[in-house]
Formats: sequence, structure tokens, C-alpha cells
Amino acid sequence: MSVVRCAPYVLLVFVSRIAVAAVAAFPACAIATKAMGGWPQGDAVLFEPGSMMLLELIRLHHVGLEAWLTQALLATVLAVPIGFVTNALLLAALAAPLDTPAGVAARAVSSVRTLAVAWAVFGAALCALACFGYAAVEASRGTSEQSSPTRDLTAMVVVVAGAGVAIAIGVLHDVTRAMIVLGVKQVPTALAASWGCARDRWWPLLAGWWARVAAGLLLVVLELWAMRKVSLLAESGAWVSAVIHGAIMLGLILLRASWLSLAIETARPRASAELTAMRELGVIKDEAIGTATRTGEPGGPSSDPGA
Amino acid sequence: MPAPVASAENAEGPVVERFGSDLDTNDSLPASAVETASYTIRARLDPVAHTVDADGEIAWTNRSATPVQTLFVHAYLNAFKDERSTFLASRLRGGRGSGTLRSPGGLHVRSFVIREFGSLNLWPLAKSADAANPHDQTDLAIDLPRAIVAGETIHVDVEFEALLPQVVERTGYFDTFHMVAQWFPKIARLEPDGTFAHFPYGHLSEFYADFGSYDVTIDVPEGFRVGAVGRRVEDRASAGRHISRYVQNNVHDFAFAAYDRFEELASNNDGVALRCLVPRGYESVGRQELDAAVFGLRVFGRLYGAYPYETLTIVHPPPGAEEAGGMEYPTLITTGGPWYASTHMGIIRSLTLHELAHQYFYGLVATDEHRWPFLDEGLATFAEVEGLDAGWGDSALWSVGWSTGGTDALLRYLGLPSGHDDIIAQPADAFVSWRSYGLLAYARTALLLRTIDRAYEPGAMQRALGRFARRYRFEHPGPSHLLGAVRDTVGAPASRQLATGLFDRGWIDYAISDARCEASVDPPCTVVVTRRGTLTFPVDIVVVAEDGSTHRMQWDGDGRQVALPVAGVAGIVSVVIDPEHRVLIDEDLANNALRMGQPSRAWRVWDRATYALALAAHLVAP
Repeated sequence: MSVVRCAPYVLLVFVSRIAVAAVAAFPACAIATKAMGGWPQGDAVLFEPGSMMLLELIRLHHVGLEAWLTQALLATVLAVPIGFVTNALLLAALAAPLDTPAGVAARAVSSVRTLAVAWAVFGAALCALACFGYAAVEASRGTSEQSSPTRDLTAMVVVVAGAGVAIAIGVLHDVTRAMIVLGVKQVPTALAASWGCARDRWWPLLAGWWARVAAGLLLVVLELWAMRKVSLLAESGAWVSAVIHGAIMLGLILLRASWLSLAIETARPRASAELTAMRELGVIKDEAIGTATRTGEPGGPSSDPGA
Repeated sequence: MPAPVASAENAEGPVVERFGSDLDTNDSLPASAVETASYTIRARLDPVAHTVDADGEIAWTNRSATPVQTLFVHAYLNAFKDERSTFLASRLRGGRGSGTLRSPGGLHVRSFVIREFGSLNLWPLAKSADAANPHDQTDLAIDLPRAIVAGETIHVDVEFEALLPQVVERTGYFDTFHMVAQWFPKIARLEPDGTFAHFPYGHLSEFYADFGSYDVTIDVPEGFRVGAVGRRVEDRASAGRHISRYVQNNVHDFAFAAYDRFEELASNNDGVALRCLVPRGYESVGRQELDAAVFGLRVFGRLYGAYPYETLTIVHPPPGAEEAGGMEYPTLITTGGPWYASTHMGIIRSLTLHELAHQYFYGLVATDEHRWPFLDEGLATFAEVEGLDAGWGDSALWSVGWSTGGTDALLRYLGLPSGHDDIIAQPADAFVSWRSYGLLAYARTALLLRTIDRAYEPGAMQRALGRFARRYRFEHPGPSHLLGAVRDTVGAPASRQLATGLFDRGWIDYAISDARCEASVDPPCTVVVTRRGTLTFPVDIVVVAEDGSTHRMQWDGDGRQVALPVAGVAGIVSVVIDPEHRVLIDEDLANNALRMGQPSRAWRVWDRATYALALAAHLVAP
């Protein structure tokens, strides 16, 4: 229900993501328009079976397309700050679904810096894992550079193990983010609390994460299936395709929001306990505790925790 | 070595006789080749020392009209002897065969005695025949005590040891896998005019030899499986050894593979027994190779004449020996590809069909792979893509989600970058790079043939190659014979375009340069079309009128630029030249269409690129 109540914030994430992607994607559209705009079918020729014209576009305009790809990846990186803001708003809204927009915004603003620090910490952990994983895969291959079932399967075991650790890091990151928006604003404390929470509630967290990731993968596969079915040569093909892609992106963001909601609800008791302990120690003021309980619930604050 | 200048005029061979449709059936096929060079060899493999100890007999007949005073013999394993060999000294960067020589190879001939000349061992008299590199020991000339007269047959007793290198290209060992190819002293092909077609082992160059019968007994340690040219007529174990004997007539080479970790798969097609030897763990890939080979035998047999042998052996070299893969020998092909290759990607079937096509184009017609590599690689590539189309259509090369890849896309992608930089029809050692060789001799040749096929009459090029393959089975044809077959089947204009494309760096780019309508003129609308380049093909032009009607016109391609009046049209929406992409070799398809007013915005590209980037952002978003 939290996700439904937070629909405007889900839409905000969706719209911002699509908008950034659309702007970054536009040069590719311009190149394709220049190259294939003379054909009566327009760019539908690029998606005809056999991919002849698609490869023709790549062959004739690879310089421009490579430049665009670099620019698009850079744009994705540059869009990270936008992602911080929209995600902080979504997390804040999920933490207090009944809160006013001003209250959500205030909570998001108060959390965004800590969320960014946590993102950097977990990002660094993932980078270190990737480096270690690469070294492990290379070591598992031995001295030979050749592929063989034994060597590749050994490497795959290393990759799968690494992916498992990466998933654990990702889940821990999300629980940490939940702790932060619930009011545990110090990264080390949030980390320790989320570790304890993840350790105690690992099964519900993992099951919830897997269920949503599986649903997300299903959506991505559904896109591949649907695009085969959509008649791209028809005039309406482009619009049908756009609607399908939009629906799938929205579905993915909804699943993400649903997962974050689960992470927040799982983290809430622990966050409440942490904040109580911190209050007793005099580390924080009383009002911060309010963030760890649902707004409007008995015993919880009736308004914005920062008010 | 300076390369001879190639042109349609100096393509070797007499003026080709006219031949007709009676060569379109298997009834026209010759029963057997003229036997010129036959080999009986007993070979014992030592997989630890990587040597093959062998002895045997060569029966060779002078089939020319002139006496032979000097015998030219190829000892190609000497290419791996040291860095001074022509092969190692002149390797080109990139492509295959450019790896390090980790352990040398060589052919040590202990005895080469022509019985008819007494008991004199002639091998010490052998000297390098490579004028450009006297250190090379792969192409050897032996001055004989007396001439071998026309029609005379000599019998040569040979004893030799073949030391296999670690695989660098085509032949050698890796671990316990041994690909034993180009391993025995082999007499060069004697042309009808009495000259030997002899040449050193080269990086790009392959082979050329006379037909004969091979009878080879292979002795390997127990536990090793052997895949070899020909029919296995004997297979037994003896004192810890595994001895098998292979015989085959009407072939011009012999190679075998031996490995103690081969798995064997088998199939059968219309009397042809297929064996597929793959490393353990590659069974799935082996089944794909067998399926593709069975399919290919049916398709190629129908198009190019019945496969005349009883066996086909497929060898998939293990990891580390990839450079032994992708090769063709009579009745034996070597393939490659990763163990996890899926049928969604066409790499396995593509490679298998290509090597199988070589059974016809080089194998059965026995063209000179050194002098005219396009005749084997180009024709095999054409046959390969036609086979892929017949079996897998637009998904021949890949099928992933909504995206499929067909052979047209691949041929254009590979055949056009070379452009008209160099000549297709030139000797292998005249190509300046592996890339140039690959793009021109393989892809551009196939692209040219497919263009001619579609531009004149779909299917006609297949018929032309069918006549060429049947008429010249066992005959060692050259380019002029191919041009003759095309002329008789597709027509003289097609033959001329083929000659231009092969010998004169032919190219073409059709474009719609303009389209306009003026009510005061009759007819009011005109389309300006341009042909750039040196090739000429008839082409269709489709005009979509403002009233929604479609008008199709034809242009024979003559002239550089012409203004074509469009009758019965008051206004034009769009014009397309060659809408069905028949002229597949067209340099630029983007300029083949013109839309009046604003070009159509690429909404689909925008949509998909946006989705892809949004998805990427979703994965890495904070």
C-alpha cells in the first residue's frame, strides 16, 4: 500500500529517468533520421528481419554512433545527482507515506547527503569486489588464455559467488538507506544497524528482493518477446513500442519502490530501537525518533518529523 | 615475391568452350579423376616427441606433354623450421597464424629414391625453389639424373620424419592433440603445359595439387582417436598401439588428427558416413556441426553435384589448437568455436558450412588456392551464405529477442569496407594484409556473386556455379572457366560485370539525386538517378505518388546520371532505387531513397535508445 500512496514519487522517478534517457538518446535519433529519413518506411527499415539496414547504419555512421554512445554513458553518470534527489524523495515518501509533500521534501533534504555518502561507500565496496572478482576469475583460468568447459565453469563459479556477494552488498545498501531515511543519520551507525537487521531478517529480505528481481527480469524478457510481436513496419509500431517500453520501465521502478518499501518496513523496528538508544544516550534530540514510526500511527508523530 | 598483375585477359586457361544445361544434373559428373600422384604411407605418431615417423611410396605420372627434368616437391612442415622460412619471415599482422612459434617443426626426409633411376637418394640434391628466399625449405627443386618423359610413371620410395610444431597455423600439436597436415613430401602440381605450380608455404596461401589415391596407415598410442581423410578400412589394436588404415581415391591431399580426449559423434546422409570428433564437453557443438554438415551435403549436393565420397570427418580442435581449425582437406574439415556456442548464434553452422563448401570449391574442382584464392574462399563463402539462407533465413547468423541477423547484413558489413582498395582476383601473396585478403577474397567475392545473382535472375548464379562445379570436377579450372560458366548461364553482361568486379576493382553506388514535379511540363515529374562506380546493373526504381499510387520503373544502369520521366504522376512523395536491395554491393544504401519535404523522424531509434539508457540507469542508479 505504501507504494500506491507514494505514486506521485514513483512517477517522479519514472519521469526523471525517462527524460534524462530521452535527452541522452536524441543524438542517435538525429543520426538515424539523417541516414534513413529518406526511406518511405522511415527508420522501420532498421528493424526489418535480418538487420541489414541496421548494420548499414552502423557501418556508415559508426564514428557518430560511437561518439554518441560515449556521450550517452557520460550523461548517465552526470544524471546520478538527479537520481539522488528523486530517490531520496521516494525513500522519504515510503518511510512516511501519509506525510505532506513538504514533510517528504524536508525528510529527503535532510537525508540526501548521508544517502550520497552511503552510495559512495557501497559503490566503492562493489568496485573493490569487481577488482577482486576479476583477479579471481583470471587466477581460476590458470596460465592458459583458452576457453574450455572446465576453465569456463570454474570461472563461472567465481562469477556467481561474486554476484552473490554483490547482491548481499546491494541489499545491505538498501537497508542502510532505509535506516537513513528512518532517522539514523550517521553512516557508521546506519551501517551497523542495517547489518544487524539484515542478519536477523535475512530470509524475508532475500525472498523479497529475489521476488522483485525475478519479476523485473520477467519484464525485460517480456520486452524482447513483445518487440518481436509488434509490427514495426506499421505506422503505429513506433508508438506501440514506446508505450510498451514506458510500461516496462514504470513496472521496473514500481518493483524497485516495492522493494525499498519492504526494506524500510523491515528496518523500521531496528531503526526505532537505535534511535531510542541514541536518545537515551543523548546523542540525538527526541524529535528524530518520530521518523522511525509511521506517521499517523498510534504513538507516532502526527506531522512532519522535522516540524 | 612480386605479384603478377591480375586482369580478366591474363586469367589463365584457354578460351572456355560453351556449355549448356546438360551440366545441371549429376549425370554429367565424371566418375573419377585422372590419377597423377598417389601416396601409400605408413605413419607412426609419437605424441610425446610430436613426431610422425613414416615411410612409403609415391607413384607419380608425368601427365604433361613435355619431359620433366626437375621435380618440384613441397616440404611444407619446414615452414616452421626457423624464422628464416618464407612463412615465418613474411607473416602479416593480424588474422590467423600470427602467433609465436613456441616449438619448431620440420620435415626430415631420410630417403627419396626413384626406383626407375636406381637406388640413389635424391633428397640431398634438393634445393630451395623460392627465388625470393633461398633459406626457405618448403618449396624444393630436385634436378633429376634424367628426364621423366611424357606419360612415364615413377615410383618414389620415401622415408621421413615429420616434426610437428606447436600449432601456429593449420598444422601442429597442442598438448596431446595433433593435427597432422602438410606433413609429407608432396610433389607439386604439374600443369598441362609442363610447368610445375610450386610455391612456398605462405601465411595466406593455401594449396594446390594433383589428384591421386591415398592409402595411409596410421599408428597411434592406444587411447587416441584418429580422424583422417578417406574411408577407414582397417582398425585394430596391437601391442599398446591403435592402428588404422585409411584409403581414398580422387583426392589431392591427406591429413589426420589424433587426440586422446576426443568424443565421437556420428551421422549418416544418403550413403555418406559422417564422423564428428570433438573435445570432451563440446558434444552440443558437435551435434550442431553434424546437423549443419548433413544439411550442407544435401544442399550443396543438389546445387553443385553429388558428393562423391563415402565419408566426411569433422574435427573440432581443442582449446589451444584453434589455429588448426577452420581448414579443409578432402573428406575432412576442421571447425572451431566455443563449447557454449548456442544455436541462437550462427557461428558453428556458418563455419561448418563454409568448410564443407570447400569440398566443392577447391576440393572437387581443385583450383589453385595460391594463385586464385577467391576461387576457393570466395565461392565457398557464397555457397556458405546461400546454404545459411536456405536453412535459417533471416536468423542465419543470430536470433536474440527482436533482433535477427541475416547473411546480406554480414556480406555487406564485411564486403564493403575493403571497397575497391585492391584487386580481388590476385594471388594470395599479393594481398598486403590479412584483413585485405579476408575482406576481398572471402566477403567481397561472395557479395559480388550474390549481386549478380539477384540483379539478373535470382538463382542464376547458383546454376552457374553448379555448371562450373560439374563441368570442371577434377579439372583444376581457373577464373576464365568461371566467367564462361556465368556467361552461359546468366549472360554476357553478367560475366562482364563479374570480370570487372574481380579484376578491375569494380564498385557501384546507386543514388537518388533529385525528384521534382512541374505542372507545366509533360510529364510533370522527373527523377534523377545516379550511378557512381564502374559496375553496371539493371535496377528498379519505385516512385510513391501523392495520390498513394506506386509506380515501378526500370533503369538498365547505362550512363552516369539520368533524368527519368515519371508518367501519370502529378506529385511525388518518395522515390527509392533498388528497393529490394538486389544490387547488394551498392556502396551506400542510405542515398537510395529520397523523401520529399521533411525526412521521416527516427522515432523507433529514439524509443529504443531511450529504453536502453533508462534500463542502464536503472541498474546503476543511486
